Amino acid sequence: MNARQKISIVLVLIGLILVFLPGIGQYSFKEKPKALLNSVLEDDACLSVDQVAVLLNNDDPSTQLIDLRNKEEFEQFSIPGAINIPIKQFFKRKPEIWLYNTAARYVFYGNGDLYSGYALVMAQGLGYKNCWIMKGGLNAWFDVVMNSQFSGDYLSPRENARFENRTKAKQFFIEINSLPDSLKLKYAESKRQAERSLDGGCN
Amino acid sequence: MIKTLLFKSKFVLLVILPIIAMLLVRTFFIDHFKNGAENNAQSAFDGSNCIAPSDSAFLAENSLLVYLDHQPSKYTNHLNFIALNPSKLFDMNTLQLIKQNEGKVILISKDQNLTARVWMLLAQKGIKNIYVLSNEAQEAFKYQFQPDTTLGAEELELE
Repeated sequence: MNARQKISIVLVLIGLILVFLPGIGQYSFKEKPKALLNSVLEDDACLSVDQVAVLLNNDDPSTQLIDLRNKEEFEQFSIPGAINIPIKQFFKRKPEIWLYNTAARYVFYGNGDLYSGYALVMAQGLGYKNCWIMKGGLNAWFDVVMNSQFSGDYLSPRENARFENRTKAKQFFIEINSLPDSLKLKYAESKRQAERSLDGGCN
Repeated sequence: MIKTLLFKSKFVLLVILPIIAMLLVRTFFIDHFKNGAENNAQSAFDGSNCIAPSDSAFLAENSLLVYLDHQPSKYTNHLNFIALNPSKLFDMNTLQLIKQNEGKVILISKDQNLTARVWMLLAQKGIKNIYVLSNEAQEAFKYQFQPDTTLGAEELELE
């Protein structure tokens, strides 16, 4: 085999690699653009703060809240049960280290809507379909849940249920976030055990 | 001589040309996102993709304002705008219009979450001059939270 043939074979192999393999060392979106566009624009991709409050009050084990703010903000307060993954770190590595549980429902939130919007597209683009956002972020949480007030003489049953849901979530939020860090986890777990025993469930 | 040339270039014709063709098709004709998701999204994580209404770039003549969910009313002096239905984002005409704009392309919406999602989709297509109209480069918290310092371990019945 002469030199020209060897060079040709090398060039062919390089060409095949360029055709079939993605950029090395980088992760890239797996989804097709139009399919991802339809997926992230669905209304189902967003949860309202009332829906998140229901999940919080029911202690839904299949839901994991992800707080995308920086560490200092998270340590001041957060929605009980949330884990903190600052957005700058979230995508430094493949998100599979955070979003490993395919049966779970991951809900992103930040102070507003920007971070959660970015995170939703990134996660779904990389193939993690079990991701949602809390619409409005913590600003909406405070607006709707924390500042919820009863006014007037009469509440319909639906309004009453919503008000009770918000009040319960608000109470839980204040209790948890008023604790020092060492007691936060302990309290959340003891509260869950107390509610299970009231319901007659297993401890 | 032509026969010899054709015979020698058989290898080129049969092997290298199809590979070049596949490369060209993959690059220009297959609809896909650009490689390197993290790099494409970098300006979102440090807030450099946000433009405030007071920023001079916002009203620059070569900026293209893209209204995602409403018609422009306030900035009618700015003639370079389009109203875009987000579901049509990846139509060829839309993408060409955005890519060919010389100045900045600024996404405007009443729903910041929609703006963020559209921004990320376009950034992952490799479009660089896309910005979000926002007063806050980094999300700001608008309220104050006062913890209840009267609560202690005893009140909360921690074992």
